[in-house]
Formats: sequence, C-alpha cells, structure tokens
Amino acid sequence: MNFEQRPEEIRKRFRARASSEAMQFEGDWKHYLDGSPAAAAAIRERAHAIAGTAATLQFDAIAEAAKNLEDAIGQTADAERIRACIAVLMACLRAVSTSE
Amino acid sequence: MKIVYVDDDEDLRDIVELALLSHGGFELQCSTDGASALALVEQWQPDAVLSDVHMAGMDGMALLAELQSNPATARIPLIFLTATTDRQKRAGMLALGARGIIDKPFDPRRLGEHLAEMVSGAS
Repeated sequence: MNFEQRPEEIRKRFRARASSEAMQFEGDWKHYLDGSPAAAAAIRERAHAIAGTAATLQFDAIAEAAKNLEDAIGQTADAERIRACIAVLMACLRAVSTSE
Repeated sequence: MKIVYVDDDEDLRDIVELALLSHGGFELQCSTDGASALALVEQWQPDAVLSDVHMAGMDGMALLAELQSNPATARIPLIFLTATTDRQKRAGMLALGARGIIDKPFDPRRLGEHLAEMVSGAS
C-alpha cells in the first residue's frame, strides 16, 4: 500500500470520468429546462457527491464549482444562475479531463 | 477495530480503505448502499459504521434508523462522513443518534486517528 501512488491513481480515475460527468450535467440541465420535476434533485445530488469527492481528491476548483451549484439549486429557481453554475462546473470537469 | 464503510462513490471507498489500512489497527469492509450495509453489519458485528449520508436507495439517515431499531445492531455506533454543511441537517444526524460527524473533505492521513477517537468516545 503506497500512500503516495494510490491517491494519484484514484485522481487519474476521477479525471478519466470527468468528461462523462460533465455530459451528465448537460443532460440533467436539458431535463431541468424541459420541466422535469426530478431534474433539480438529480442535479443537486450529483453536485453534492462531486463536491465531496473532488475536495477530498484535491480538485479544488471542481469542488468549489460543485458546491456553488448545490447551493444555487437549493436556494433559487433562477434558471440563469443555475445555468451559470452548471457551465462553470462543466468547464472545470472538462479542464481536468484533458489535463495530465 | 472493525469498521464498515458505506458510500456509493468508488473513489471515496478507495481513499478511505487506503487511509484506514495504512493507519493500521483497522479491519474494513465496504458497502455501496444502506440496504447491503444492514446485512453486513448484522453479520460481521463491526465496532463502528462509517457512512455517507446521500446515497441512492437507503441513505445514511435511514441506515442509522434501521440499525438502531435492530437489537443486534443497535449498540454499534455510526459516524457520518459528509460534505453537508447545513447546520439543521447536521444537528438532525446527531439527534437521531449518530456518534459523530467527520467532514468531507478529510485528510486521509488523519482519518484513522480521528475515527478511532470518535469510536472510543474521546472526541
């Protein structure tokens, strides 16, 4: 068990799926715009999960963006604010998915 | 110290496993949801359960209630590992009978020490 190598392996795995996570947010956002009653809860749950995981794995920008989205969707139905938070999170996820 | 860790996030399960097994003094079994954790806890009788709160299906709060309602598991302390910052929700976890709350993000190098303190009642 190597404490220096294993976290990096787990971080690589997170990076590898970051792009698909971004696509899932894109899909959730379309459902939200379509008026799906479950979409807001799905976005909030996904954002909450990513915030905890990303922070522990030290993807700080993703963690902050996910927390902002979780807070926004819990506090407001302002679609523009939620859209902006999702856009930031998706950009952060896509940025790490292409980084070394 | 025998620990059951419940989380639907594979990355966090791996980090917690790495943290506790590297620390030493822990045996660990993991579940991906509350329902499967119930059977594992009853059968394995761990010293404590460490659980995420938000999970598909049976979440952490429901898991805690189920464990407490079963005489075979009621004495086993449950500690939440959560990113939740909402004060009301955190108070609700403790009011329901959780032994404590460890925040995400956590320092993997300190998790074992922190958990052992909570299980022993020192924290």
